[in-house]
Parts: sequence; C-alpha cells; structure tokens
Amino acid sequence: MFSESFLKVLIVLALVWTALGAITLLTLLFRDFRNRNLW
Amino acid sequence: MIAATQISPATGWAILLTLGVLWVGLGFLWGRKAKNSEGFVLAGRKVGLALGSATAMATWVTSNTTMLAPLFALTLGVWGMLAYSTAAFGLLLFAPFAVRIHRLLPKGYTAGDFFRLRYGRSGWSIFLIITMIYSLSWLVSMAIAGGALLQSLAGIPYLQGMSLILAVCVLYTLFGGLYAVIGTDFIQSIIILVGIVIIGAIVCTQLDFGEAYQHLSLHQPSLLQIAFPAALLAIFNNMLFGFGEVFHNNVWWSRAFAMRPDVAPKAFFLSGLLWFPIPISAGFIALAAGPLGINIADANQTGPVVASSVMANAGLGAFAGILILVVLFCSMASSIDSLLAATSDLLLKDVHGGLLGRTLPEHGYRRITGAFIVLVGTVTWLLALPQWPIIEVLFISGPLVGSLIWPVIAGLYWKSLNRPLALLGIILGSALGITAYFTLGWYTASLVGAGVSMIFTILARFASPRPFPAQLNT
Amino acid sequence: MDSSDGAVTLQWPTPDTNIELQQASDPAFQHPLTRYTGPDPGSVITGLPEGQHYFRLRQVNTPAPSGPWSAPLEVRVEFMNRGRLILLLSLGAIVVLLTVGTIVTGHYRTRREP
Repeated sequence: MFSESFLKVLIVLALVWTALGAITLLTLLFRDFRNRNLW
Repeated sequence: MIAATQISPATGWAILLTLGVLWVGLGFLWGRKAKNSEGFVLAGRKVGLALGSATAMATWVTSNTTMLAPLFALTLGVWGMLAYSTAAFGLLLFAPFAVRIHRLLPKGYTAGDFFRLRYGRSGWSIFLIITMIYSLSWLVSMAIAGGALLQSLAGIPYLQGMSLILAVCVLYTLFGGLYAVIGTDFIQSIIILVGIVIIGAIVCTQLDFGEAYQHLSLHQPSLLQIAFPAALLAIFNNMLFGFGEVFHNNVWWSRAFAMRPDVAPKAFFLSGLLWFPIPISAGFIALAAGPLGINIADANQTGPVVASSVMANAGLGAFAGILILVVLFCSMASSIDSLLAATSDLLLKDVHGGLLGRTLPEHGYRRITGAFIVLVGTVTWLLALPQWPIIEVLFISGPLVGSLIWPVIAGLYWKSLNRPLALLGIILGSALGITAYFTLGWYTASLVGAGVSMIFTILARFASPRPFPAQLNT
Repeated sequence: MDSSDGAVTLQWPTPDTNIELQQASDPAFQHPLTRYTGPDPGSVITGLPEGQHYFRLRQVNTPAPSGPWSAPLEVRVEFMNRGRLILLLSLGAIVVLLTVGTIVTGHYRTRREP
C-alpha cells in the first residue's frame, strides 16, 4: 500500500508544482515582453 | 448533490458573458495583428517561449483533465492519478519532433502536409479520417461537458449553455485567428493553474490526512494498493493514447509551425513539465470524497461535486461555484478554440487547397477561413445537441490515434520505408485496437493499436523499403 | 454483479424520503457498514478489495419505523489474474520503451543534418 506520508508528499508537491507553473509562465511572459519576443 | 454551491442562473450568465465579451474583444484586438493569411493561420510564425508554452499546456488541459482526473482518482486511486499524468509525456516528446518538423517543413502549415508528402494520397486520406473522428469527438465531448456543467452548477438549460460556450469560442477564433487563440490561452492557463491550486489548497485544509488515510485503507483499500491491476494497466495505455493524440494532431503541429524554430522545442518540453502535476492536483480531491462522507451519485460529476461540497463546508459556498465554473470554462475554451482553428486549417489547407486545388487568395482570405471555422463549429453544435455519450467515441479513437504514432516517427526520422505496409499497419492497428476495446477492456485498446502498428512500421523499414524524397517541398 | 476494478455504480429510483445504503462482506449483514444516508438516487462505490460484497437499501422514515431492507445485491470483485497482468504490463513497457527509444535515437541521429 502507498503510505500516508507518500500520499501527503505527492499531493503537496503537485500543488506546489502547479503554482510554480503559473509563476514560471508569468515570469517568462514578462521577460519575452521586455525583449520584444512575445509573438 | 451540489445544491450547496449552486449559483443562480443570473450569476452563471453574468460570468459567461463577462468572460465571453473579454475573449471576443481580445480576439478582435489581436486579430488585427494578422496582416496576411499566414499571420491569421500561424500567428506570424514567431511566437515566443511564454506564449508558446502556455498555449501548448492550456490546450492539453481540457475539461476532460479537470473532470476525468478526479474520476480516475476515485476509481483507480493513487496510480489512477499518476497514470493520467503520463499524458504529459506526449508533450515532452513533441519537443524533439518540433526540431525535426522545422527542419523538414520550414514553410509547412499543417500535419496534413506532412502526411501527404510522406505517405501519399492514401496515407493522407487515412490520416484525415482518423484525425477528424478524434478531433470532432474531442470538440463535441467538451461542448457537451460545458453544457452539462452549466446546467448542474448554474441551472442554465443545456442547449443555451452549450450554444453560448461554442458561440463565444467560434467568434473569437473567427475574429482573431491563431493570435487570438494563443493570446487567450495564456490568460486561461493562468486562471486554470491558480484556480486548481486554490481549490486543492482548500480541500487540503478541510481534510485530516491521518483520518482520511485510515478511512481509505479500511473502506476503499484498492485505491491505495500498489499492485492494483486496473490502475497499472491504465498507465501504459494512457501514455500511448497521449502519444497518439499529440504526435498526429494538427493542434500541435500548427503550434510548432507558429513558434520560432529555436523556441518550439523548449516550449513543448516546458509545457509537458507544467502539465504533469495537474491531474494530481485536480484529481486528489476525489480521494477525499469517502473520508468526508461526500456521496457521488454520478461518477462524471465527481470533481465538481467534491470541490463544491468541501468548499461549501468551508463556508465558501457561492465562491466555490463561481471558481469551479470559471476554471472549467477556461479549460474548455482553451481547447475548443485550438481545435476549431486547427481543424478548420486542416480542412482549409488540405481539402480546399490540397484536394480541390484551390488557392487561398490574400484578398478576402478571412471570409474563407471564417467559413471553415463556422462550419466546424456548426457541425460540433449539431453533434452536441442530442447529448449522446460522444466521450465514448473519444476513448474508442485511442487505438486509432495510437496506430499513427510509429508512422509519424518513421516519416520524421527514417530514410526509407515500405509505405503500403506501414499504412496497412495503421488500418490493422486501428481495427484490432477497437476490437480490444470491446473484448479485452478499454485499458488495452491504445496499447494494441500502437503495438500492432509498431510491428508493421518496423517491418516496413526492412521489407522492400523505398526511399523518402530527399526534400519535402510544400 | 461483477467488478474487475473494485468500482461499482449503484442506482435506485429517486426516493421520496432518505434511504440508507448498507454494505457487508456476508449476506447476513453481521457487521454492516452504512455507506450512505440521504436522498440521492445512487452511489458510486470504489476501492473495494477482492472478494464478495453485499449491499442493501431501505427507506428511512421519521418518526415512523424505517422501511424493510431490500434483497441484498451481491458484488463480486475479482481482479485480473497475475499472469495476464504481467504479460500486458510487459507488452506495454516494451512498446513504450521502443517508441521513446526510437524517437530519442532518431533525434540525435538527425540533429546534425541540414
């Protein structure tokens, strides 16, 4: 069986990773905009 | 039931119309960037990393992701969520493809171009049939999901809700082409990611992990099992289904063509990384249903039911309904617009241009592209009307698209091939895969489709291969 | 009813009052577990381990005594046998590995080409 701590770590990791995704995209957007590389 | 967070029809309409006006307005604004047909169809071929990654990721987050991931977690437990996440690998592997695509087809337009040039008319016809079945069933299942969701969350009649979602997407795609699609995808991607994190975080605060785990191991032990057969089988099947979907479909090829050559590989790789945790973040809430005593009467409504119930318990009733509606609307819109654009492009370039031999006039091209977008939208609307379980067709298309995996690989990387043999592999893979779907089980279908086609394609490399032309000229 | 993945969807006609759904591992319901009490017309039960499971329903009337229990529904959960599972998993792994391998080698081989 998957352990309780495994499950907890998996879920928290997934949520943090998802949040980092949004931050990454926004950072990249700002960078591309500044370098006029948007589209 | 989700009565606790049901929002009034008025609120539902308000949200839909506000977002709808926003997308259509932006579509109009961004559509003006397109100075010619190439700009309209391929956003000028110089989309950067931020917009490129976001559009690839957002398009792959469909309402299926946010609705099916909880269902996978509910029925297949921990491995179920992880199995769903493997669909990200398709995006990761499209990164090397993007390099090759730009090399082989620097002025390419559609995936159809590739199939026609590598596999001739017969190969291209087979490809068209498969991709239309898959693309339409994907489009229609999302339109249906949208209508059903609006009905259960906001009491808006199915026909009205479904029609509005489709109309909004058709309108801004019509006005803005790929610029509008990609631009709105970015905004939608941020909303999706942030929304999923908020909902997930709230569920976490309402959950006592220890108690929940106890409950699961006592009453739903299979969900925590490591050697849970149904879930393990789902892993490879889902992975291959994902490969088939991404490798063949014009939604991804058109994006590759739209991005700058140096950007495309990085963008696809990044999008895969960004997408990977989403099925887990969106799906795990279903594991909380049992421990929190939330009854699921309709498996298809697992996600919204659990999210609403938990958030209602946290005292966030109305906010919950609005947030869920917004996130789901964005995940649908980001996929529907991409599909509308890519499918109409395929019909435009391949059927109108390739088959009928008509050229796209630079003067008045918008009318023709617009006509195709409206055509695809109308067909979708008509198929969504009776609310048939079209999602079944989508699942059944797994072996169909799975059988295209190896022909795409061969066409991109190999020097010679016995084309008829490879095409036979596609047909047999599809047929046997569909048979497997109904006789062995859904979790074997894509595996059979991909496996059979793989064998034939490998054979085609060694049994009387004929060289591919050295240059691909569109 | 048979299930190969421990998941089963139970449905019943929409009740006028609340109903009570019970589950047990024996047909006599010696150690029953109340799965659900409420007005919903169905319940999706998942994660059941292998073996025999029994379900029964009754209407809950307040303040009068509750209605009679329905006849028990037997759900037999049987997972795929190990041999077949390992075969399918191996096939899946082979196809995936070959696919990924071919893409990666193809990529590195053609990277330098014009």
